[in-house]
Amino acid sequence: MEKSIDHVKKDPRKVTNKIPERDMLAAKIIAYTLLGVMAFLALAPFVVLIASSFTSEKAISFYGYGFIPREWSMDAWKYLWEARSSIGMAYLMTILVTVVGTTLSVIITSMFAYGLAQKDVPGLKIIMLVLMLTMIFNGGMVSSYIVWNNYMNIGDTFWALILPNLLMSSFTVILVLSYYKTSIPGELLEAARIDGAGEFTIYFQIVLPLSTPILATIGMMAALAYWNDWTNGLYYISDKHSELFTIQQLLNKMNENIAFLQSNPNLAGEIDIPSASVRMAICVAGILPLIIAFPFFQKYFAQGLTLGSVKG
Amino acid sequence: MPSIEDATVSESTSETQAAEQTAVEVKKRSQPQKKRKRKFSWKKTLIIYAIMLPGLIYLVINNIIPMYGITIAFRKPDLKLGYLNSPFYGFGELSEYSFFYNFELLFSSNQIWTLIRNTVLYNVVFSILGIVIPVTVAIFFNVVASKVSKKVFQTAILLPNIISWVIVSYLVYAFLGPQSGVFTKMTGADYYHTPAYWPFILTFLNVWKGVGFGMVVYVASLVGIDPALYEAAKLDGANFWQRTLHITLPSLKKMIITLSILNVSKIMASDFGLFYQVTQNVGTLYEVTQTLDVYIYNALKVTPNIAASSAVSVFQSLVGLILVVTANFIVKKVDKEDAIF
Amino acid sequence: MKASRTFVVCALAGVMAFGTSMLAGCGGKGTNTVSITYLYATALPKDFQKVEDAINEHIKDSGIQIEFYPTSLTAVNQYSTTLQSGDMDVICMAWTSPYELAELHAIETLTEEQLQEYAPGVVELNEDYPMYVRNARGEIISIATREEAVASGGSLMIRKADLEKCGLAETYPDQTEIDYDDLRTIFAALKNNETIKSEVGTNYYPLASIRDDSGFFIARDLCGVQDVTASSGVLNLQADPATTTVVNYYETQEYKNFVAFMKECQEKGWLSPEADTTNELSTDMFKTGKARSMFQDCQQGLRNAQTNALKEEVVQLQIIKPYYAFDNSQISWGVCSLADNVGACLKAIDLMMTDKEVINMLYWGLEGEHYKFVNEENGFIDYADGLDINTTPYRNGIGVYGDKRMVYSYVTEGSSWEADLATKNADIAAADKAFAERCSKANGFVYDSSKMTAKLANITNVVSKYAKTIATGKGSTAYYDEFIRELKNAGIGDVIADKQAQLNAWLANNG
Repeated sequence: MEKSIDHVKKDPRKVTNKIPERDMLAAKIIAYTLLGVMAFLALAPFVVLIASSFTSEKAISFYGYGFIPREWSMDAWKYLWEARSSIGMAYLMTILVTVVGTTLSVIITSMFAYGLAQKDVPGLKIIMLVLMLTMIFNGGMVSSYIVWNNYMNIGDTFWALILPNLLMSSFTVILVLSYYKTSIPGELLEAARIDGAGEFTIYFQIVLPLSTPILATIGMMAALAYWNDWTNGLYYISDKHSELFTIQQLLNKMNENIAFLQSNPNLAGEIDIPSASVRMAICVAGILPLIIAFPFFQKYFAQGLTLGSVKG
Repeated sequence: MPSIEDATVSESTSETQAAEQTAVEVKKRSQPQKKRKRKFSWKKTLIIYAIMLPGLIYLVINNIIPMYGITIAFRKPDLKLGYLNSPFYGFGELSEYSFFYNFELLFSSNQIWTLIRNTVLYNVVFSILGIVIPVTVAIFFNVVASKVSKKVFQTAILLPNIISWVIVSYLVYAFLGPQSGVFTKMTGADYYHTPAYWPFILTFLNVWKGVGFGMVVYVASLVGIDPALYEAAKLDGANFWQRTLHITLPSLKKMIITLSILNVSKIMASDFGLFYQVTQNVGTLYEVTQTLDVYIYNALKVTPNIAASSAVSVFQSLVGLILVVTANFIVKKVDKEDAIF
Repeated sequence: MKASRTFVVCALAGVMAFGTSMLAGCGGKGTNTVSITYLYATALPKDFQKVEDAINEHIKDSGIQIEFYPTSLTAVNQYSTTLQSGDMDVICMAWTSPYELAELHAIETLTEEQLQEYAPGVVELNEDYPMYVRNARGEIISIATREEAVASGGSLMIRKADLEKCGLAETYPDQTEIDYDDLRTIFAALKNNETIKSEVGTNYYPLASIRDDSGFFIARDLCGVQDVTASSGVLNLQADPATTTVVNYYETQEYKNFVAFMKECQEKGWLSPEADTTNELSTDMFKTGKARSMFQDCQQGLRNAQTNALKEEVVQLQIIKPYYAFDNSQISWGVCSLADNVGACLKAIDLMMTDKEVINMLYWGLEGEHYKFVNEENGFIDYADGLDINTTPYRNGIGVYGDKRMVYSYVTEGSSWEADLATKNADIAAADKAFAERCSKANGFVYDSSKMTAKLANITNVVSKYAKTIATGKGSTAYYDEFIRELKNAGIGDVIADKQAQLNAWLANNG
């Protein structure tokens, strides 16, 4: 019994120990090693990427890609600077699309998943089945194109970059659903209902704040999906509206032109194909904003992060 | 959220009892609540459907209506009539053809079993590793205390996910290329002409690219676990490994099962960028790198055929459907709550 | 929290509002406005709209107006999907086969009567050059661009300076005909040349990597066979220009000789061991000097283009004489099946094919503003004052429009229009000679592969697996035998028999 009294005296939030626990030390060592190795494996190729963008075309042709530029050259970045009007426009468009798309996506997905998580509303099982079915079966690009372009008329508009395919995917709905079912205690919602709160209130005042980690997660997934997408632009935006191009579309176009030239070298004189180092530079340019922005958004994962530091 | 006071309450009993109670509480909190008889309420139904409305509309427009396109796999596409009004094989003027004419392109390939073997095996390995590794990384990620370290690690590990496969193919060539590759110089092996290395290379690359993503998903689940559970367990003498085994993993169970079942539905599909672009479509490696999607792409490069690609897609989806239903059924038998539907 | 609810409601309202606004249809175009593909490579020229307006001004008496639809080179891959929108009336199928689009009924079949009525200029052109692309059933599906030099052969491009360093410049002046032995001499000399080594180190190769995925084009340069798609069997015009026997290209003696030569190149270090895995362009390798020579089509115009690009004189050595193999489907123009007014479309094609002003406006822009004449009679031009290739606001040299004999040419930098005229005439003369002497008997025959699609897919897969490795000399003899065996397993024998039967029937009718 004495031991328990000691426990009562101590503040349970402060997990103080006179010697750091052996197992935590081991865990920390493993954690740092594992994460360190993974971070290194992730960063090493990125270093190659950046180095190649500063290497001259000749050096890449003769010596391939490497960690350090064999022959320093700013040509690739100069090329990008020359094209800054179209690249700048593409950046703006990409950022706009990502921000708008992610916001809408998170809202729609979480609301839909919340609805599906209810226990005593009829018809939800059918909707769930339909959701699964649509995730597995895909009508293909051809019919999507007809529906979006001919019936919904989004061709050549800003919405063509946001609506098709990416706005809400069954996969993320199920993910959020799973999270709602596991991590939101039912008793809380019960208590709120008994207190007379309406569904909307419950959703906005209880569920949403509690689900910040998963919303941040699917937000990140949506943001990445939008940022990296080029197929929507490829099919729905005609070249007349080049102001609607995104960065990834530009890069993709360039790569396709290169593949085209491989079978038609007679056109090499007419087509200005950027060299390997320019392609690297464009890739870096496409990723850089994401890397810069990400740490700022990590604070939305922060609720999880602070809780995590107490855990373990 | 249950407060710290609840944890305090459990401390005043004896240790063994506390341990038991903790275990019980863990079980309670990591399981969704039991069904209770409730009155069916029109008002609630209406409001819930109102909340779901935007999602429903989008589902109908984006997924349900275009599903009609599956029938293209059985038709002879005609753009003038409209692909969705085109004649079916096996009927009318096309009655001399078999109903499954478009499927013949895939199934009369003498490579079909190799292709299926490659596709399925890679997916199985990718799925398993795609759970084990991110979960492990997520758990250890939470061990790290410093916020700065966390930010650095998370950003770094996510990096490969945002680099496109085309760029990755250049980088892989930089490491494995016959002449100037970094590893080639070190080991002297001819990577692009030796199929044996590639299952490992491709698996590594798949994990490398996907671990950041998976980690984020699992970290999100981890932070949803009630910290009081850990507190209680710690005070009752459980060390890190025991806490992980008895609290963390069971809490992740539902997420892991959900993701596994979802992965099963994609078992006949493959990541085109990985298998085509990273391997540079080098012929000597086909034996181990050619999957269904790559084969169809190569076959249809010369003679584009939307009906055939639609047929392959239907085949992949059908297999996926059967497997998902089976997997869900099995999971239901074991633990009803963990199944998806 | 009330704020977030308001936010959500507003967001939804916004979405609905935008949604309805976008449903308020797009502006229609008049039935006499024809939407035509406008191909461009990297960026749309700045004065694009100006030129479009000028063209429309020029043709206003014809009763139709043209609207250009910018399309990138690779957009043809999505045609089977994007043509459903009905936005395009006339499409350009450049370096892609029109047969598949015709099978999909994405483009209309055209009748002789329609052409007679709406495109008389094209009908006239057809009298001395096959302007119509026909499918296997003989129906007209599209209209071909009229090339200037209609035949092609294979050549080796090499810097004159390199030949001089090897002391071979006198032995091999421009346009010399060479064979495998000459190639051996040249490559050996390049490989061991001390001057070149001192300039770039030892990490270079005499020959650039091959040109395309299946290794086909480079082999074709050295073997000389008809038919781009070797998967269904070819006519070996190199061996016998009058042949009508369809054979397996990969088993011909010419191909075997070629493979043996490539193996030798690998052994002696004349070709990079990365040739089958790299995706570096041969033109890039040639430009940076990593490769000292490359294979390309045998046209003097191309030699001039290379000279311009490298800013060094380039010499062209003929390996295969030009042969005339009928394939006018390389670049052709079709009328979309969803177009409103077929007559207007055909009229637009007619104008584009036969009206000299329209054609040159499409290529080079407006006279005086973008270019000026150097010699009007022969059609040589130069950039307008103060402009050059990088600063001109309009230039579209992708050769897909019209009757190319009418197109003006820019004078090659550092050269004179007389020299360029001589080059052009030489190319045309070579082509005409090929037409006269080495013209395939199967001109006009189109193979209908609909009964063999599955087998062809298999064969294509086998070719895709083996051909590049073998064509770069990296495969052993056993590997080559395996290749041939796999081809037979895939059913190439059946496909060849089918094609032969069709060809025989066609020859009986058209002999």
